This record gives sequence, structure tokens and C-alpha cells, in this order.
Amino acid sequence: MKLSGLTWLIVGLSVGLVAFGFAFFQHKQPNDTLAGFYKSTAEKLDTEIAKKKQAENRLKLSKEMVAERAQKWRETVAWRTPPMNVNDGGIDLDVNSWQLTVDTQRFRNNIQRAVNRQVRKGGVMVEQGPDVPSADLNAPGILANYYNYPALPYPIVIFDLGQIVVRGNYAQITENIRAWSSMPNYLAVADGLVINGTSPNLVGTYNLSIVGYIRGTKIYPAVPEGAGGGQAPGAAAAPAAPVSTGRRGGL
Amino acid sequence: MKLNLLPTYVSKEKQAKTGVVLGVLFAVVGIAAAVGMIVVSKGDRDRAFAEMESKKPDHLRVVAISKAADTVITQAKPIITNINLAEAMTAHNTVYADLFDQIRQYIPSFYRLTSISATPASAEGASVNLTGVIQTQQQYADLMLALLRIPGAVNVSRDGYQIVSAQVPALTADDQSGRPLKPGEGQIPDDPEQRLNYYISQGQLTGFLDVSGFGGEPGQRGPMPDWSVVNITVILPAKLMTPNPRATLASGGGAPAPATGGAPPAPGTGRGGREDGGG
Repeated sequence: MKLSGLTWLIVGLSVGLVAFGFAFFQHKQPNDTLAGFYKSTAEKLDTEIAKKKQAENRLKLSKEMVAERAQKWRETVAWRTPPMNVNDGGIDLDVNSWQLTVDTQRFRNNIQRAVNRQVRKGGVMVEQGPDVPSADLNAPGILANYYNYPALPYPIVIFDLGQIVVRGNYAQITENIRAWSSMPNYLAVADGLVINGTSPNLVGTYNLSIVGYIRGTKIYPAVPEGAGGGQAPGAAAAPAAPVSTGRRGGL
Repeated sequence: MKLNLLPTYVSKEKQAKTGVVLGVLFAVVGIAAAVGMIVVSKGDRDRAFAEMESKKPDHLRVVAISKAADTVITQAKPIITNINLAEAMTAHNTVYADLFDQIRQYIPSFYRLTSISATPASAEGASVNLTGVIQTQQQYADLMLALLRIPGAVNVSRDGYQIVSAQVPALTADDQSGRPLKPGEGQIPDDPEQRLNYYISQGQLTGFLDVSGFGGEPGQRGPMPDWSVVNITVILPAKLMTPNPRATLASGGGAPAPATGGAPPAPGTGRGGREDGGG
């Protein structure tokens, strides 16, 4: 059978179109898409690379800022935290908890003395002074109850001391509340000042909170207390030699 | 008229040859174009890929620098939280006194204060409450203008003034003159005898009244007779929000106080930490 010229023409055209279509849809289009993606990604990378200077500046500023904050914190720690032993008016948590209940009572009295000294600043007469809470005798719970550890990342005493009432003239009362900014060994925040009366006989009322960051490197392990339950021999109750706890942060 | 004397197969063979040639030509062109497209597009793709790959090392370096900055901040977050809290607490002790000092400059002398307090209305605003005594309605009006001079004062509101000034009454049968009367006073008759009796009935002790804390021990003095206690509320910009140490520290921030008060602990050794605002 002989094919006509038109048939040959159509066959050749079809073969050409099939080849063209195959190349276009199976190769060119996907390749172009991929190339476009690679180019746009490269442009994005260029944009990010262009931020190198900015990133370096940010790193430099971050380091400077952290160094500045760290320096400030060191200065603050130096005079706004209690001493590291009881005899100096502070507290050492690296003693067994039974002893800690005794030391904490002394510590509490020292805080009260510090607060009493501070609350008279400015020359006011104290009508209602702050009362620092006492610790109970529950040795195993003293860290949690009094030093807020491990509820907070490290031992710290926080006392919301309630309302303070002082009497004096305007200058004395404002000086009194301002003086809490310079209380040694503790951080204090006075809030909600109200002044009543007829000058110069004024009464100032405000609320006070005290914070004491406890310094140290170790905490003595928990000790048992109380009768009835008993401990099986070998239970992890007996006090051991002081060891570093799992606390992090270099206390 | 022209006659085609050639046999019919002669023209058909010629057409078939042309068709074959054109068919082959189309097929070859199509295949060549296909091959060309494949080669060119693959080349473009490979070049784009190579270009992208060549930028990755630089990009990774920039990312590493950026991450290093984040790490520096993250590791120092406990220290930053603590010092920010300490500074916020220290700064807060003066905000009330400073605010009162600022406001006192704008309190006119005729307004005798007996109480001043302030409460935070928002993170950036505060409501200052003043209580004091004034004598006249004119002072009540002037007081508002005086307090609106406080820089940034958004609103000043007042209440408490009691009108004590005399007012002209309506006429009655006994009083055809309409003499001004203070609140609570009866009308003054026109008849001279009745008027005399009226004044006699109004007679009272005019000595020291011993009211509102005047006399005796020093203390708060209230309003004198015919004075009023006036409450003023001033809304103005002021940051009175109190730092909350417990919430701030409980939120996870906080670096321990170093044992020696010297170098701070190595960054990242604290237990994570986000700043609670710290005040």
C-alpha cells in the first residue's frame, strides 16, 4: 500500500509535535520551574547575606548589652543581697535543715533590724511598721516555705510586708519612701503612697515588699522530721554530708 | 484549452515525494527543537542550582552569627531579668513622691489639701486623687483651670462643692423685695417689726465653733464653716505600675546571686527564663 503525500506530512508533523510536547512538558517546564525556584532562593539568600553586617552589629551589641547588664548585676549583688553567713546578718543554706531553722530565726531578726532601721529614714515617726514573717520549725519544708526553693530557680526570700504608716511633714514622708531605693542588702519596693492630713502633720501610708537574693554555692540535702511514718532502713532520709544539689546557676 | 496528457500516477508520485520530504522535515525540526529545549533548560536549571548552592555557605555564616546573638541574649536572660527587676524596684520607690512633687506645683494656694493619692489607670497613665477644702464657688471653677495646667493632664474632674452663697428668692406676700438668702434661710419679711423678729430668731453664738479639728491637738483640719470639701481626680500620663518580684521570678527568669558578688554565673546555667515585665 502506498501512502499519500498528505499522510506523510501529517505523520511527520505529528512526530515533530510529539517530540516537542514531550520535551516541553516533561523537561523544559519542570526545569524552568526548578530554575525559577533556585533563582528566587538564591535571591533570598542574597538578601540574608546582605544582612551580615547587621547580624555582626547585633551580635556585638548583644555582647555589649549583656556585659553591661552583668556588670550592673554584679554591682547590685555586691550591696543589695544579704551577707553569706549568719553572724554577718545573712544566711548560709549549706547547713542541715534543723540548724537552718535556728539560723533562719536569726536571719529573720536581722532582716527585721534592717527594715526597722530603714523605715525610720527621713526622720518620720513610724506609726505602723513592717513585721517580717518568721519561719516555722518544719525543717524539711523550710527551704520551700521560707526561701521559695525550688518553686523559684534559686533560694530567695520575698516578703510582702503590707501597709506601712509613718507620720511627718511632706518632705520627711517623701524622703522616707524614696530611701527604700538605697536599702542595703535587700531590694525593696514601696507602692501606693497616700498622704493625709494637714501640713505639717501628715500621715503617709504605703505598701512594702522586700526581696533578698540568697548567695551561696550549695544547699544541704533534705532532712526527715516528724514521727509516725518511719523510714525503712536505707531510705534516703538520713542526712548526708553536704553535697551540691542539682541546682544550677552556681549558687 | 490545455490538455494534461500525462498519466495520473505521475502527479501523485510527485505529491507523495513532497509529502515525505515535508513530513521528515517537520519530524526532524520537532525532534531537534525538543532536544534543544531539554539541553538548554537543563543547563539553566543546573546553573541556577549551582548559583544557589554557592551562596549557602555565606548564608549559613550569617545565620550562625544571628543565632550567636540570640544565644548570647537567651543565656543572659536570667541576669537581664534580675537586673531589670532590681532596677524597676529601685526606680519605683521614687515615682509617687516625684509625681506628687510635680502636681504640687500646680495646686493653687486657695485649695488646702487634706489628702493626695494616686493609682495606676494603665501602664502609661495614672489617676491622681486630691481631697481638700475651698471657700468659694469661684475658687471651685478656678481650681479646674489651675489643675489643667499640669503637663499632660488628660482630664480633671471634680465633685463635692456645696453652694453657700446667697441667692435671690422669688417674691412672696411677706417679701416684696427679694432680699438674697443663703441656703436654709427663711425669707426676710418686708414688715420692719417682722423683720426685726426674724433677725432676732437668726441670732446665734459667733465665737469659736470648735469644728473640723481646729483647736486642740495638731491633726487634720477639715473645712471651716461655709467651706467645702472638694474631691478632684486628675488623669495624666505616669507609670505607676508596680514591679511584681514574685511573678517575675516565678516566670522562670532570674540569675542566682553569685557567691562572691564578683563574676556572675556563666550564662545559660540558670534555669531558663523569660522576663515577666519586671515592672
